This record gives sequence, structure tokens and C-alpha cells, in this order.
Amino acid sequence: MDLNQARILIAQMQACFKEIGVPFVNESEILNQANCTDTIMFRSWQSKNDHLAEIVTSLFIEPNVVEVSINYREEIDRLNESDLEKLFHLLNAFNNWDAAFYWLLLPRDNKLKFRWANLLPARHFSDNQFKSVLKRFLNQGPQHYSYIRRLIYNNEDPDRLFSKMQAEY
Amino acid sequence: MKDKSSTKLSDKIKSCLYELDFHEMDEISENDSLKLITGVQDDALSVLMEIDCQLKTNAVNLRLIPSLEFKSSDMLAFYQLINTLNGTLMDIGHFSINESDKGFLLQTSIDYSAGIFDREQMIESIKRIVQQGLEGFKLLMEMLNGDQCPYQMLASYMTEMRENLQQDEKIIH
Repeated sequence: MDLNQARILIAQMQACFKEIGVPFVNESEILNQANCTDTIMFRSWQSKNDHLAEIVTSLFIEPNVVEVSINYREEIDRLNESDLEKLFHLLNAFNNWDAAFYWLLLPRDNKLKFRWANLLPARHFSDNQFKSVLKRFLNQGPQHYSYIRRLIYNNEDPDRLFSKMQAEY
Repeated sequence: MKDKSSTKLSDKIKSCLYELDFHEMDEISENDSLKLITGVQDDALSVLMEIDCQLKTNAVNLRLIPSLEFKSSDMLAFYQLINTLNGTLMDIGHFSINESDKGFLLQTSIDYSAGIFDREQMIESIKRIVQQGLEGFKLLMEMLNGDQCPYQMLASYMTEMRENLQQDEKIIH
């Protein structure tokens, strides 16, 4: 994929965000940087259950990968080892359960990242396919996050929280 | 009885697998899914590959399950290791721990809800996930069996990978 194709694709993706009612804020390009693949990205945000989260969509040109992530700020560094293990236990349960999306803990940045990434289709980018994934992703992230907060702030048991989450499906 | 759409999709995936030289596979039909199961054999590792065509969601889930088992009770260290691996990899798959059988898993999913099957995308995704799986699982195996600090091993692995990448780029240019 060349830069022009990538720019067209990113515009199509922004239109998908608009269609499902998620605003996009700004677009940026990282090009010709050492140790960094050429990337076009745009930011948006989501406010759900009183939590504001940043959404970043990135198109990595050379490996042909599209990535969408929701970033939540959380004071992970205040957790002790036992609480951290419980948090990892819950995140791992989510990550095991779902093949498409997963959680990453970024302790240094005090961030929790919910991530989806796929190879770009070789022939035809389908708006409907992208929107279908996006809707599911943008629902599932905040839903999981509400359970994560119950673990962090109410000290609820990770196995019970995971069972409750599964029961919602 | 198999659903027509899943049969069609599974036939397309089978054809992709044949192209990638996976000729032997089992087919398991369940309520909401049709699974194709095959194996990836490497020098020291044998890995089960499961391609799961979901009928309700029209998603195809690719899973790799290695014949690797860990015995450590220090789960926090394993969670951190997997988290670091996922954070470093940042590609199309993610690793996780299957706590019930003390094993590992690498998986990704491709959505076909719009009904458009992209053969090249599927072939490339299978190739990538197999390559990532073999590299990641080998690294985990070395960490499980070695006496070197897992983080140090991960760091040297990343350096090696970066050097390989730079060499590849030189060859391309």
C-alpha cells in the first residue's frame, strides 16, 4: 500500500466513525522516521458510563495493519503486587475469551489499552465490515472497563467479575 | 448438520490452508461453529492450529496452542511476561495464558460479517500468526527452561528482531 492509498483508507475509516456517531478530533502522519514504520493516525474520544477515553486509529503502511485502541487512564502504580496480580488475572481472562480484542497494561504510562488489529484486506476495504468490528469494539471496551474498575476500586473477585461479564452474553 | 454458509467459508479457508501446505486437518462441527484443526511442527515445538468459523458472528478465529506447559506458581511474573510480549509484538495477534491447563495461546480474529472473503488477507493472516506464534512460543519455551532472567531474554530477542528487520530492509533497498 502506498501513502495515497493509505490516506484514502484513513478517510474511509473516519467516515465510518462519523456514521456510528463517534467524533474524530485530529489526524497526524508519522513519515520517514528512523525505527518507526510510516503511520497515519487519527484520534477520537468516547464518553461512556462517566468515563472519558481516547480512541486512536492507526494505519501502519508497510506491514499493512490497521489498529484501533481505546486508552484509559488508571493509577496502576498505586496497586500493590496482590492487586496487580488480580488485575492481570481478569485481563488475561478477557484476553483468553476473545480472539479479536485484547487488553494491555502499560504501567509506566498508567494506562490500560483495549486493542484490535487486523491486516488490511488486499482487495477491497469494506465499510460495513469495519463498522461491524468497530461497533462491537466500542461496546465491549467500556463494558469490560466497568468490570476492571469494580476490581480496582471495590476489590471484587476477578473470577466472579469475569463470570458476570460472560453472563451478559 | 452443517450450515451452508459455514461450509462455504470453511471450504475457502481449507483452500487457503492447502496453498500454505497444510494438507491434513480435522473438521469439527459444533452448534455455532465449524472448526478446522491442523498442526504446525517445528524443531522443538508442536503447535495445534485451530481455525474456528463462527456462525453467529461471521468471524473466523485463528488460534495457536503450543505443547508448552508451565509449572511456576508465580503467576504475576507470567502475566507480566505475556503483557510485555503483547505490548512489544503489537501485531495482529495476542498471547494469553490458559490457566486451567497451564498453557499458552495466541489468537486473532477476522470479521466476515459483510460477506466479503479476502483470500490474500486470510493467507497472509495465517502466515503471520504462525510465524509470530512459533517465535513467541519458542521464546516462552526458552524462558521456561532457561536460567536467564526472562526480561533479559525478551530484551535480547527484541534487539535480534530489530537487527534482522534492519538487515531485511537493507536487502530490500
